Amino acid sequence: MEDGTELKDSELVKKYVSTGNSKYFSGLVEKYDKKLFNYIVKRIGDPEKAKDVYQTVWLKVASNLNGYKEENKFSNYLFFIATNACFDYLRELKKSNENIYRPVVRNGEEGEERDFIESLPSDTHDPERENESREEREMITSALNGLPDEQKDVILLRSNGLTFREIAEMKQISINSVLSRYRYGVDKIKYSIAGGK
Amino acid sequence: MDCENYKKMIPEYVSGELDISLIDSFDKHISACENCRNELASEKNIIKNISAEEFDLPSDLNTSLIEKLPHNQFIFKKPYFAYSAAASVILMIIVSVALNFNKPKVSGLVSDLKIDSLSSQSVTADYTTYAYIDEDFENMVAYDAALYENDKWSSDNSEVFSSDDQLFNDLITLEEIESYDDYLTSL
Repeated sequence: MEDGTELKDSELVKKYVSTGNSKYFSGLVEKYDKKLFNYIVKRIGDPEKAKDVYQTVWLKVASNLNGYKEENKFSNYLFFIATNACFDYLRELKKSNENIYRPVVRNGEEGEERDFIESLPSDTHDPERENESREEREMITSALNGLPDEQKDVILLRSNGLTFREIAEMKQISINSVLSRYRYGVDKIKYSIAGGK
Repeated sequence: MDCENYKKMIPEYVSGELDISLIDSFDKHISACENCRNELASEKNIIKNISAEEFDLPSDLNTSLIEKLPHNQFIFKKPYFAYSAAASVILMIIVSVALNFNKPKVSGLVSDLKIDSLSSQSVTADYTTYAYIDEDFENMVAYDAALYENDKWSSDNSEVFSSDDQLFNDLITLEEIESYDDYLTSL
């Protein structure tokens, strides 16, 4: 029996639409789960809330696959829905006056608050380099979280491997607008890093 | 072009979308200009750091997601499913109408039955159709009664009946002869 992950995205979509067999949908989920989850966490800044948004995105994808056009990349379609779902979530969050740019997580039973950046996994075992790397990442993440929503989103989509052209198509704006948002955002991050030193 | 122009090209250069006609010029400038080289490295570092942040996907998240999927929601939504279902219904209607059209109309009491078709040839053909296709027992009885009536009319016309009917008639005749012989012997 064919494994869902061996098929192309468009074939998985076709087979899921025609058979309703969740095996084919699982194939799509397995390909993009980590990328999508990380994008959502970074976009909304809350790993716990990201779980709900993550499932909402996939369920929206599942119920709208009839509208998916094969000539488009599935990943673009997925991130288009994810971008909108994150936007909806953040809009609701703003309405309830919660702090969206400096999210925190509760640490342990004592209820001590710490920045969620501290919970990020590290990619090195050298304690000194690990600290430097963590500090640098904290500064970048902090600066990213301080950006206007439109600039932050373009930078996050770009860091997930989407090209500027794909982002422009997805957001239905000109490529120059996308590049402009990106440059402003990156310049602000650079400025923050330089000012922090 | 000055440094500002080349700095603007950095994002598209990194994403691989810079116009091919500008790549050579960009590469030459970057190799010669330390300031722009630092800008390129800084931008790559920012994107790399943002990409490198990884949050572990909760282990049960995908399992509970698949359980929430609506089952078989797309079956019959595709046009070809609807088309085949419609074609099947139309075909069934056509076959049903065609069979009823060829069936002789039988009405009234069995003893008063008349066959619509007056032709003896069509009676023979209809009998075959009736016996093998239509399984309505009452109609078969009615049809047999009608044939019996026709038998009187067509007794001299053997082709009206099938070979089995003729054989049956022959056997009765033989029995009658034998019983007549017996009667003669007993005298």
